[in-house]
Amino acid sequence: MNTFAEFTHVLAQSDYPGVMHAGTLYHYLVTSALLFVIGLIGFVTRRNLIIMFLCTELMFQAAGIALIAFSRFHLNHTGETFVIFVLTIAAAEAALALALVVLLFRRKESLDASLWQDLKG
Amino acid sequence: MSRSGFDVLRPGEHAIFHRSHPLLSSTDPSRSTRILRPLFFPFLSVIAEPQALPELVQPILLYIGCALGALGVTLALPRRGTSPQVVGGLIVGAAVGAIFLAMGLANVDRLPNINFYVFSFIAVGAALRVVSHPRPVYSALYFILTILASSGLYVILAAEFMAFALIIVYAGAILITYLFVIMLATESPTEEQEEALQEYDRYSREPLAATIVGFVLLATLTTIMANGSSQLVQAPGIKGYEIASQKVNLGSGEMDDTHRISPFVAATIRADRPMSLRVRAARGSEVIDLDPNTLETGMPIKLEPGENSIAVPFVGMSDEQAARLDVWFTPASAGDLELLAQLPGRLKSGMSEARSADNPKIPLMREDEWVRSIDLSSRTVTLTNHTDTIRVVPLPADLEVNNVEGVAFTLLNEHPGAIEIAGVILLMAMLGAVVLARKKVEMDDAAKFAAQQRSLVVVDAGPVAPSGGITSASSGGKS
Repeated sequence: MNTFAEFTHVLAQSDYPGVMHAGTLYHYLVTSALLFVIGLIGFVTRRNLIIMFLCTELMFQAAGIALIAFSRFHLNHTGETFVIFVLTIAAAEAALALALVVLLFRRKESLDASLWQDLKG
Repeated sequence: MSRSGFDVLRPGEHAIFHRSHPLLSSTDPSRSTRILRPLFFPFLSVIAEPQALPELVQPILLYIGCALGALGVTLALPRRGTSPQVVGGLIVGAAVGAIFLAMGLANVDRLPNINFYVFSFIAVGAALRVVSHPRPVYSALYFILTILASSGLYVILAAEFMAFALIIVYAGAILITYLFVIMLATESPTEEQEEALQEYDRYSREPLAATIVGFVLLATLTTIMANGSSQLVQAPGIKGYEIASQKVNLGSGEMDDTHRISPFVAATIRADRPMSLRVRAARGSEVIDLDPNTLETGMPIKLEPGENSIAVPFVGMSDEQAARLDVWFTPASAGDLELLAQLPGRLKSGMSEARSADNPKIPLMREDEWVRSIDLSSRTVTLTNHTDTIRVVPLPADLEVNNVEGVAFTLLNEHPGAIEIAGVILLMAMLGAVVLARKKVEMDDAAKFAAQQRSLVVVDAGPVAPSGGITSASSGGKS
């Protein structure tokens, strides 16, 4: 228990209840924006339905990092609790979306999203 | 008289009726435009306030990094012909390095923890591999790597509970579901043909246009974020916890002929950042409603930095009535300040059971004492009693509020409705998944035909008669 506490203390920002500067916060926001943009590019370019949903999970992840960073910046746990709800929505979305993907696969024997182009109005 | 965070006006001292009082505070139009302008006209505000961006990041390096990143991601995405994925990955690495360098140069004296760079590079690199790897199983495995790296970022940000929850829920549960579906929804390779990549996995759709749009979005986002973050008010850091709400003496203001109106209760409170306070009044154990025209019980009062006095009017109450009131101020949204103010039970019982470190037979807290505040930096507890005698004792190690406790209390205390909604959503998702899974689906005519063609080709190559081939093809199409 003690070694674990020491480990997290070394790993964590050592001055936890202390101030986090806006410049440090900005680092985390940029990382989160990078992840989000990569997820977005993946969602647009990939044609495999499963990968497309994986890319939405990537975007959820980016939002989570931004929420936790703001939570640390404001020394407030609300951002962290929000990530719990992000996880919940991600789990629900994964269950429904993957069930849909399996349905679509059974119909066309293929995961290609462009096979469903006749859906467009 | 100055006692940890609160100064109390003695009777006879005059309080200033301050403009931060909700009755007097007016909506400041310039403030709303100041907030809205960067939202609606990002580029205008960048031009108008050119110093906002260089405060946090070197703009030229940042935009060079964005352009490089766009080039690298375009090269890394799978495409027709030879796709130079390794070169693309290296260019993206250089781009991320340039962006971090741009941020580091602007904040040399407040760089983040060194582990931040490690975890960020791993997260971004693995994310790039998620979108660029042609095999879906590897994409899912690289996504797990992204999850692990971002949970490392969570630990750096002192969110230990969410870090572990992320690994358990995402890497443990959601990604396993993904892997299952990837296995379910790919055709198993036959013995003759080795496992071939599907056409839709080998070529991506419009990689150049998507990447350019994506990185223009990134450049705009980082620019606007720099403007926004430089305007954020920094939290001062939790120095301690105020346990007991502060009782405030009643000011003896002007009295009119009828002796009915006690003008206000006043206290001066030091504020080093904007905070809101709740005012509660109680007579004995009964909490009373104050006049709704002036002040409702529990109504927050805004306090701006540097403004250090506050006044609470009681209209329609005699001095005697007012004198019997216990009025106190509680910080309404000061993060953990409020959190601990709502956990007195645990601390009270914990402190009353705590024993002195020197002699385990002596209780830490005397019978007539209660906890006033906790100082986190020196790990001490300030105790007080009815005669305002103050005694400082060391904080027992098991009474510290950790991250799990903080998250749990915020969750249950501030978002109970959201928990219910999340439960309903999960239930609906479960029902929906069951309904979808039980639905019978007929294969498309085109897909059926294609499957028949495929099995016919296989059969023709073999020594089996054509008639047997057709029956096996139709049965294979149904399965």
